[in-house]
Amino acid sequence: MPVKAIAKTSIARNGIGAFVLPCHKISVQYCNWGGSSSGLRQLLKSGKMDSIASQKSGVVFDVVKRVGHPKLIFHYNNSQKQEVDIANLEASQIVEKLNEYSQRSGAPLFKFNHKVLSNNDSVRGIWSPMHAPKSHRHKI
Amino acid sequence: MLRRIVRLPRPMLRTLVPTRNYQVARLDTSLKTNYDSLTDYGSYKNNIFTHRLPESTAQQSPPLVALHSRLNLPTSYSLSTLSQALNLNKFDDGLANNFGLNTLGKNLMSYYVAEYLLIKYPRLPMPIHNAAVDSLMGVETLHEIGKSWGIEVDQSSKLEKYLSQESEFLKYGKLRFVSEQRKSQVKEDGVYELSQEEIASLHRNKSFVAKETEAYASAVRSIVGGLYTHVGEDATKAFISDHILSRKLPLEQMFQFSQPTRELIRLCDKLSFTEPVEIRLIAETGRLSAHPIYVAGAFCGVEKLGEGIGSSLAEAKTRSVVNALLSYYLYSPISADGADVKFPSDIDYKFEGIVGTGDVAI
Repeated sequence: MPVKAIAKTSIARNGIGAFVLPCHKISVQYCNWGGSSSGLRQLLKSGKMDSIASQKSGVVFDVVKRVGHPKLIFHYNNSQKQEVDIANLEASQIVEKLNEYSQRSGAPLFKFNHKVLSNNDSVRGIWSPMHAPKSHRHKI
Repeated sequence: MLRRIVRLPRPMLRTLVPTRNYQVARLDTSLKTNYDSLTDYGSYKNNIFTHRLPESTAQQSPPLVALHSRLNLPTSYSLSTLSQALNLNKFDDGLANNFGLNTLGKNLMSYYVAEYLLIKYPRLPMPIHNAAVDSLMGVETLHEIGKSWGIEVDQSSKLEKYLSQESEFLKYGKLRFVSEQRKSQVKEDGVYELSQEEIASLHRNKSFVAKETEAYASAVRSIVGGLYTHVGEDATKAFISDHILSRKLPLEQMFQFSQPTRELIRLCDKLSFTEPVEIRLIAETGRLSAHPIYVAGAFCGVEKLGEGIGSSLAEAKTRSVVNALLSYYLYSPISADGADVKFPSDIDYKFEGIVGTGDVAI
């Protein structure tokens, strides 16, 4: 056997070819009695939530009535769940939260201090001092 | 070395000899197949009762409708077919399962993946080609794709559904492969009991494929198969290239050379290069420097085949030879106008690439 293969799975590149929204389900939890849910209740009553749900047709909206502060639970396709507390928020602020979190990938946020984050090697390659002509090389 | 020869008595020998170790096609008895005569395949008919989910029921399943929309499937792709693609259970509720769609999708996928690899990388050695096919459409990869499509598994039993007042339509949009009996078993946290098939796969090829992984892969294949049945081949081809061929294939990490220098020499022989292969030192930082670095090149006459950097002469040499081999094996042809070459399934296809000449033997 001249050459053996090392098994590797291919790397997903969402957005090259097809784009599939990573957020697939949003649970909207409200309380029918508490004051902190009034913004969400208004959103649900006015039919605004219905229109948002019909706009985001790829996302399942699950409206749950439960005692306590209201929250939004975003389910992402990397098996992550993100709970967002929306107690005492107005309807417009809740819509902002919905838009913001439904566009996320579900991966935790991290500080990135470099210019490029890529799966691919640099197109120009890495500069090498060994390939300069001999007369131009650094001499010690 | 002590060796004992045991003579078997004659009748015992006779019982040992006739072993059948090849695959024999057998009818699946659970399908209750009837036929007029064994060789008349047209008369084969399955008597297992299955029915398709009515479209009106499928429309009331939010996960199913959302999946349809998330994958941007055309409206002619019916929701009932999508639901069927997610069903692996043969007996539970009498609904048609995805066995046929899975086979169809697998065939289509393997055709387009093989076509892509053979045209794009015509010189890939056979083991790497096989690994690349697995890398694009293997069970693990398809499981990952299924997960990224947001397909969920239906894991709650009938009783649990009843107690939580869950809508019965929800399950039609979920992946159904856990049998009702298994669902109702008491599960212990952190303990996973293998099913019979999983144990069998463990013995057969020493690579464990969980039932869930296989189920996700089967659902993805079936969705592709369903696309073909509803919309036809062009849309299926576009779907496969969007979701499967668009993934990054780490081919340069998939080679494991045992004797790279010898292989390069054999390869150059096979390509009938007249000059001998030589490894030459191109540059170095100096042998007595604190961290010496060498740049070696694999040359054939004046042609540089590959170049490698290493912290010892041997490392630089091996890297240069491996780079030379990789740049040969990973060659990808382009057409005369500089664009990607066309595939045989494209319209007005004209062969422009090359055909690989096969692997070298060491």
